[in-house]
Amino acid sequence: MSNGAETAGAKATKKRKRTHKRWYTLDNAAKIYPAVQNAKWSSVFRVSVTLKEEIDPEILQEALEATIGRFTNFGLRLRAGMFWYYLEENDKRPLVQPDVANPCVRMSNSENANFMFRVRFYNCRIALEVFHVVCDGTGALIFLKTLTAQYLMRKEKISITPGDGVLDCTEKPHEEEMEDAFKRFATFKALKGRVEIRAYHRKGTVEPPHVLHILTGVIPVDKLREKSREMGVTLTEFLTAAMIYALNECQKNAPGGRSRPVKISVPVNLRQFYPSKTLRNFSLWVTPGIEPKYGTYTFEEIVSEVHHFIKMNLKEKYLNAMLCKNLASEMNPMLRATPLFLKKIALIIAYDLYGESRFSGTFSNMGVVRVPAEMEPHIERFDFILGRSKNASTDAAGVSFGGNLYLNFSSALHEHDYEREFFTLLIRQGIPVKIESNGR
Amino acid sequence: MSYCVNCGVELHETEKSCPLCTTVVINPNQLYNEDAKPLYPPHKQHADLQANKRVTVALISVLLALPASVCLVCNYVIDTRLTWSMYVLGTMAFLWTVIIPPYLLRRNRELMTVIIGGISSCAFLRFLEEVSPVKGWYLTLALPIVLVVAFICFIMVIIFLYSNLRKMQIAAVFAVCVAGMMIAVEIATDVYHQASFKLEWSVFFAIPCIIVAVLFMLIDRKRSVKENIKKTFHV
Repeated sequence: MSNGAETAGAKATKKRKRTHKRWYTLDNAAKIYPAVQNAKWSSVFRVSVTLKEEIDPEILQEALEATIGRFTNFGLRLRAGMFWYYLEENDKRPLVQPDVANPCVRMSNSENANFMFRVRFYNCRIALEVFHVVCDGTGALIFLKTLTAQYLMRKEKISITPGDGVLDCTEKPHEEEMEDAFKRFATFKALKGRVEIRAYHRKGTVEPPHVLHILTGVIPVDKLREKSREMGVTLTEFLTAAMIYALNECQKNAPGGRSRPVKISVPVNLRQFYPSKTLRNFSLWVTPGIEPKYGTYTFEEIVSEVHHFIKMNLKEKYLNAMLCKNLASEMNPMLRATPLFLKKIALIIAYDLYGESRFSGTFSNMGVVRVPAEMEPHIERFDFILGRSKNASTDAAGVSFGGNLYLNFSSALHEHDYEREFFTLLIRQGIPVKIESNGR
Repeated sequence: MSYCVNCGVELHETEKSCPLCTTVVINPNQLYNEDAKPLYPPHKQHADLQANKRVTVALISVLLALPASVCLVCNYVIDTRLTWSMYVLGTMAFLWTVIIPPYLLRRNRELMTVIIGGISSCAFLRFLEEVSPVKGWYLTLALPIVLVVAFICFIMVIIFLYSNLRKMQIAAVFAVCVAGMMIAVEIATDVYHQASFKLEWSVFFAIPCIIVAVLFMLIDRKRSVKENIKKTFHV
């Protein structure tokens, strides 16, 4: 009798819990990713930290459990509604898992207790792989730094003062961290058009869906900065120009085919323009590039093109117009009232028209990572890796720490001609490079 | 530290060859370090493609089951017995068998699709004969046609996937197969209607097919003709 009553009580509590599960709409940038994912691909990226001592998985699991409660956006699962996907509270327990040779494999909704991230460990490294629906690189890095701080506090018995991207896990999550900042800052004064022509895409042997080749270049930041200053540009502009140069060389060396513009998509963190504390997606992109039909470009000319393009386009007004255009599509009443399965088709077409086909590759530079002074002696390096792109292009992501830039090229192509052109260009420019890889 | 003699980059101690150009590391002073821990573990993760497929299978099954069950209910409510709704049920079941098993297969998908398609078509047509008022057409008409078409498709798939034939030769075989298929269809229809057969319309279809096949074979043998065709019709 009492057992039955208990069961009924438990059922009622469970039912009550179910009805009280909080849910969130996807932010503007996140809306596209679940719609365009397929059985072989989803948009996943990875940030990792390498410590000076081997990782203890049990302590890491404790640290993860202490961290997850502070980050609302990480404790969610993806659900499909009638008209849109949405995020729902996930009361299960995420587990840490051993690392693999091929990071950023397609993330299935059913894996890892329905969470949209993986925490992995190998030797001295803690890696966080995230489905882009959850957050952008900045949000992921804040989660990783907080997780690392929690880990070090337990492992090394040190106290770490929150700050420099490490959040206080004793605090409750702030409402502002879950805001859709795109909506908050859109002015709708102007909408930027999306007329861009199809860019060059490197051809090669495409590997099976789970394979991702990673080539890491370890480059001294001072040498890079010195060279960039010499050319009167920023470090990101210099590296972007080098990538465009390398891709253009690949296009020249490829047999036949028509010449197409070579463009690199450079994500822009909008938090530097708007005072938002959101931990979700809040970035846009600019696409500097060259049109090889105009003639032969020297590296110096490409550097100049990229510098002026970025300088002109990286303005709050232009970015806001771009942001508004993206939001206007989302707010279109016709699109909103379309059932999800039809919307998915429309979004797949839109992604093919305005997405990856418009640029030859991506270069995301996270910049210099700062951590609280107590953590610094325990950290060797950080890495940032972009997962496989839908059209199997080669993407690059960089992060600087401890005087080095760790530049990771991730590619689904077997051939490494682009990466070779890029790194040998740096060598010719007098910048030393150390190469690492995840093997073939 | 070792450097790639071809690219000029420094290589990590775990690299046996340059990841950029595959040149083997040559450094008499510091050879490849066997004891160094690799940067990534050897284990690879495979995407759980079957899990995603299961969702799709469930979705397709529901989409097919829904109209069939609605029709069954309506038919039973209106007529108090199942009549026309059986056609819908049979069609949906047929669609399920030709879509789902080939979709779930990982190996020999093409061959198995033809085999499953052939068996499903036979079963579907038998079911139609059972529920329709007109009887006696399955064994003499439908079954021979389905078997011939399935057999020819099977042969074509084998030739296309496993033979070393060139494109022109495959095209010739295809033309001959189409001619054979038409003759078989006429024989089957004649036998069904008159209990004997006389080749008429299928001959007019088969002769051009045979001529085309011979032409393909001749073109295939003549390299100069092939080159001329390539030159004239290049896009």
